[in-house]
Amino acid sequence: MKLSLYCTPHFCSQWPKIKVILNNKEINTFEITEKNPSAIVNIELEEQNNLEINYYNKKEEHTTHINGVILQDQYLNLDFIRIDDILIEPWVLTDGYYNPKYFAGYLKHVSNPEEKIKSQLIWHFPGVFSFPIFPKNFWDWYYEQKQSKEVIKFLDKDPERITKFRGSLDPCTELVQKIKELI
Amino acid sequence: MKKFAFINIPSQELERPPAAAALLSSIIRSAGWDCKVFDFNFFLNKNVSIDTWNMLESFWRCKTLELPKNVKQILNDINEQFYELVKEYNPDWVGVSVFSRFSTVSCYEFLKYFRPKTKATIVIGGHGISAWPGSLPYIKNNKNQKTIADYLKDENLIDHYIFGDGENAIVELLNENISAGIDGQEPVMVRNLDEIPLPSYKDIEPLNYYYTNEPGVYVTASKGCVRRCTFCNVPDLWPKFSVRSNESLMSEITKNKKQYGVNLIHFTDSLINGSMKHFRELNKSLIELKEQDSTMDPIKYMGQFICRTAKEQTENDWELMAKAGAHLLVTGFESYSPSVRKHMGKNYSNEDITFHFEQSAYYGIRNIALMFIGYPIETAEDHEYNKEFLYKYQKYAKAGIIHMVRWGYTGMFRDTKKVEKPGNVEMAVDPNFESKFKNLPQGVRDIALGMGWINKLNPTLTLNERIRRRLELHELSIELGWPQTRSKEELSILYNILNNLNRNKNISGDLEDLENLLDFH
Repeated sequence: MKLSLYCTPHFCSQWPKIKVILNNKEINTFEITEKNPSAIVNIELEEQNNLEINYYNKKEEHTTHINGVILQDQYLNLDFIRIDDILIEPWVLTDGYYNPKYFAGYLKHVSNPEEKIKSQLIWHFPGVFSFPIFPKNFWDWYYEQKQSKEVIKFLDKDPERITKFRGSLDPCTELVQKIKELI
Repeated sequence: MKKFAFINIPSQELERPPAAAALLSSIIRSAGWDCKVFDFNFFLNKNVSIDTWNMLESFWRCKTLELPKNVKQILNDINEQFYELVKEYNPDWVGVSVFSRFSTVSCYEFLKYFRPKTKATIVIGGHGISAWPGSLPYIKNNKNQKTIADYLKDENLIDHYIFGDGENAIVELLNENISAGIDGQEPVMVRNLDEIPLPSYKDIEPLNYYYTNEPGVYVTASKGCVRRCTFCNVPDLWPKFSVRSNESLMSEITKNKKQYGVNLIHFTDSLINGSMKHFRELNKSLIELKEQDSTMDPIKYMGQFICRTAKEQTENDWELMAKAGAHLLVTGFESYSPSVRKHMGKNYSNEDITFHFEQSAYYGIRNIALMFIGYPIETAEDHEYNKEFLYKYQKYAKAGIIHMVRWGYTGMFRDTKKVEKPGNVEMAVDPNFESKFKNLPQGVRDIALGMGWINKLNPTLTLNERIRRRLELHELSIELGWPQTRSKEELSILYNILNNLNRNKNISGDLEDLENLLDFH
């Protein structure tokens, strides 16, 4: 599976660096820069897949400020992804979680910050972003999830809307058999 | 000021306000009249249960010939309530919009109720009025009138009718000028799309309709088509391809968003990319609009699309489309066999289709693939191409880039002359075909009537074989995970047609019989 990550990096003494990790195995490392804001990897899927991005090089010194006003900050936005050159719908990202590794200085000011933040795609702290777990057959999983997330309004007015607007995989077995008997 | 009541009748989608009502009411107002739109389709739906509505739909769509007594009573009560609303407005003229053949029965029923109660002059228009009067229930073997409009006029249920585009004709008629398109005169295409006032949704606000995802409206950017495909009637309806200026189009889109909160533009065009020049202009203008005003960001569009050749487009076109808000392209690929497509009048290659899907996938633009099974020259080898289509682009179907595929009813040709070409298509039509399924409801008969043909130069493509291929592609679509639209409905209709023919004992799947008897089925 070809995975392409598209990001917007923000520079402060260094560009953000990430590791792509699948099932706890590091696949590749990338420096995300203004000139090269994407990262492309080929990954071999297993039965279940825990895909993660580890934003690992951000340190406290990558934020410069005077009297509490931030002058420059290294951070990273994960904008969108493609798989096998197909643009993936945003829910694959917004269903994911970011586990920030807060700086000691930050923890002095903020007690008990969130450990796991859903849909967090702007990363100011280093940390690990986890995609939803998906099986080997990514596209079957994607199709099912996508269908369940599509909003179809006014079904009470038109119950046929699901098949009209989302399509159907109904094999119509009986009907097909009856036609076969006639031809 | 004179008053015009514009009435929209069932059966139509309730997703968006009726386009004809929005446009023609605006034209009538700009001609100095007062005009109020009454959407009877919507009014009725709001006032009946879903079960009653389904029974009414079934009746209007000619699937049943008689309404149950209680439903008749409900309809009568609601007709009365609706009549009171129109009466209160006290119009001088009433216009009834008959959108398609699915509105003809309701038009007839409505006029029978309405006409005796009003002194207003009644005019009807819309595609539905050119249907054959015999397609109405209770009117059997009518040979006296050519169209429903003629029949209704002879029955004194209407005063005037307009065939074809109504934009110019309605103004002429209100000025008492019986000109092109009016009362049987040959219609002409609308003269200039830019001279027409913008549609108004004053009485039919898009947010009040039952939209699936986003409030939307229909917008017309062009009329006619740049192609002359053998199976298509668009060139008969609009002989010339005419395009609206980008400025006028952008005014409408901006107004719709600002005034009515419209996010989805459903283009009514036969092809939204019929003119690449205009299509690029549209996309660029939409991008500019969004850059200048972030409230315009949610605007997206859908419409019918033609697969272009590599020479006619670049990757940049797809990027522009995505940024502009291209959401859903309804694309008639028709066949994956190059020779079948060539005969149809479609010039793109299979590589062009691949490029179309690759680009759609890269930018996340959805497609509905319209396909055609059993085209008169389709051989067994051509059919294999269609199977290859399903295998080759399977991942796009699973990814939702091919949102749905529609295989259709198999080849239907009422006018077989259009498809004939010396050397490969010589159509023979069964003269007794209609009599073989007289028990079928009219809605199904209309479809069945197009199936009584065989190409004498491709005689193994019998109706049975066409339907066999249809089933095979249905089953393969399911196996490979391709969502289909309307497949169950289409298969049910095919079953009913076949079953009816079978009862008449006229069907034969035997090719020897076919050779001897020129059996069409």
